[in-house]
Amino acid sequence: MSAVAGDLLVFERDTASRVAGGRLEGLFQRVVVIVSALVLFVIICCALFAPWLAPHNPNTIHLLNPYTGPSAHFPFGQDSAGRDIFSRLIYGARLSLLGPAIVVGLAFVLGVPLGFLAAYRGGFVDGLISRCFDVVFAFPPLLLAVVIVATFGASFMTAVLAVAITYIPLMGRVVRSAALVERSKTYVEECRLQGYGAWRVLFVHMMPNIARVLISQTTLYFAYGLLDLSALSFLGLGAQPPQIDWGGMLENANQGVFQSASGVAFPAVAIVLLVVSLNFIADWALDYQSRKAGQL
Amino acid sequence: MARYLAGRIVMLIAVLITSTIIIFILLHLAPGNPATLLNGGHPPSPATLKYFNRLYGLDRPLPIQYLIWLRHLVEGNLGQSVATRTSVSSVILPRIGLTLFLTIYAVAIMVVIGVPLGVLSAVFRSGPTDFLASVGSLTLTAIPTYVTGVVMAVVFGVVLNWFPALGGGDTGSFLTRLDHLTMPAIALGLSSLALASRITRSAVIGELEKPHVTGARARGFSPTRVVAKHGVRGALVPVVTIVGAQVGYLLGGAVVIEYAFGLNGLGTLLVSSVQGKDYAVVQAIALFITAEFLIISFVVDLLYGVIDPRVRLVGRTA
Repeated sequence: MSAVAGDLLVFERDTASRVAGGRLEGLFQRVVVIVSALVLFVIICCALFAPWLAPHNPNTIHLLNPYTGPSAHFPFGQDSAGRDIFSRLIYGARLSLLGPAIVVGLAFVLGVPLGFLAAYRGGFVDGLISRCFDVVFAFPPLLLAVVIVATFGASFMTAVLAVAITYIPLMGRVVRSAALVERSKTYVEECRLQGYGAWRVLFVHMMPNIARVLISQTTLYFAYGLLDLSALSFLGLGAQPPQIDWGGMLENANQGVFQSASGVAFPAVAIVLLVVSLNFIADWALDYQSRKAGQL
Repeated sequence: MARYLAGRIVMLIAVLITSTIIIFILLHLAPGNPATLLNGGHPPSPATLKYFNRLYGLDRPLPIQYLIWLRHLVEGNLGQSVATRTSVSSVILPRIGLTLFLTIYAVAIMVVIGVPLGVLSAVFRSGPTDFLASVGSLTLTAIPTYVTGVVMAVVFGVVLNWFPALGGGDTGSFLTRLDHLTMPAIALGLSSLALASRITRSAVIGELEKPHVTGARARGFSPTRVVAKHGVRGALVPVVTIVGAQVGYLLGGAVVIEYAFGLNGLGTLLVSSVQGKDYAVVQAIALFITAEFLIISFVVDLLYGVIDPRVRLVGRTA
């Protein structure tokens, strides 16, 4: 799924929260969100405490038994070079979380102020910023990342920066349209009349009102960032060995998929679990915030 | 409409030119040069370097290089592949068919199944089926295409043996190709299908709640007519938006799917050219896919004008 689609999903969620049916509601939603948060917590713990949790060195090679299924010693089996899939999965959580975190961080730090500025200043500034965004939107998302990787060579950081470049304007555009709505409200005019500077109005007064969109958008972009980065790793254009991430594990396992399916299954399940959990959390954040807004 | 069309065409050309500049500059920034590459990665002697820089025109100023490149592009000369020492177009042309087939197939799956599914679940909403469909589509949208691809290749290609697990049926007839590309196309289109049906569902639900639909019901039109002519028509703008956005995503996703299934399309060539630093080929493929994407966005923009007459009047004083 692409991030452009993510923006539409937020629209879809907005519409869906106004019309009943087909949604996770009440107790069930709470259970789903708690489970999602647990999944996220476990994966973060794996990333933080990998050296203590992993039973084996993730890069130790056992060439005599490649593509071995689960055994007592190797609970998730062994990959093409006989390395322990379970330990690699735990270590892989590190880059698989760090990558999207940097992408989202950059999208936030650059996209939010740019989007705010475009909406608040309008006119020439808005035109300039929006045209710059349009240049990025002119390319299919994954393609631009691949070309950037082609330019600077395949590595984890290049892949992260390449994906981040496609997310900055996405975030900027969402913030811009949310801020445009806020700008026309009377409290912003009041702030201007008080003589507050642009940044004070933006961060102190407008920010709380668009926090709802920002939080859910950031969570979603984290999920899509993970999918994009895994896709790049899958193509061999992301993290390079001996670095470990889930997309790279998939690539490695895919080459021997007919010998052993467990190498594909575990990283795939890890990616899907994380992305689905993040989706549920984003959904809940949007709901929670709008309920709070409704009470005011 | 003519004015709207003209405006869109000017935009299309401007964006196309900008994208050629971006791709040109990006690949120019790449470290290394053909002389080093041909020398097996070792730094060549100054004389060799000078010879190859002259041969490939790298000794001219950058804007001139761009203009020359653009002129060649317009003439259909895409340069020479450093890897195969043949013209880029001869490397690319035989592969375009497969990629186009795969992408169109996936788009067709998304539109023909996804959109009607969304309309149906909007009409029969709030039941347990609709609930299951929502959870199912949320899960489907979260599964990356390459995972779907690998899982399908194992299940349907190897275990059940319904479809060929590898290859694109390059030499066969249309039907052979259809047979070979069915699994990749489903793998590519599945998450877009789920997404398209979700968006369609909520757009149609939103529309069905509007007074004009209640009005149509009150006038005694049949439920089918109310949904088809009044509900769906008003919901078309977000549906077209998501389909257009997803086509862009499918063009990028096709690269990954081709790689996963080992198909001889543009995507696998792009990946191997990136790894082999064959910049002329990377440039040409990137340009081709971007041009496809821009033309589709252009068509989507025109569709907005057809669907919603208000769009055509933007920028005109009433």
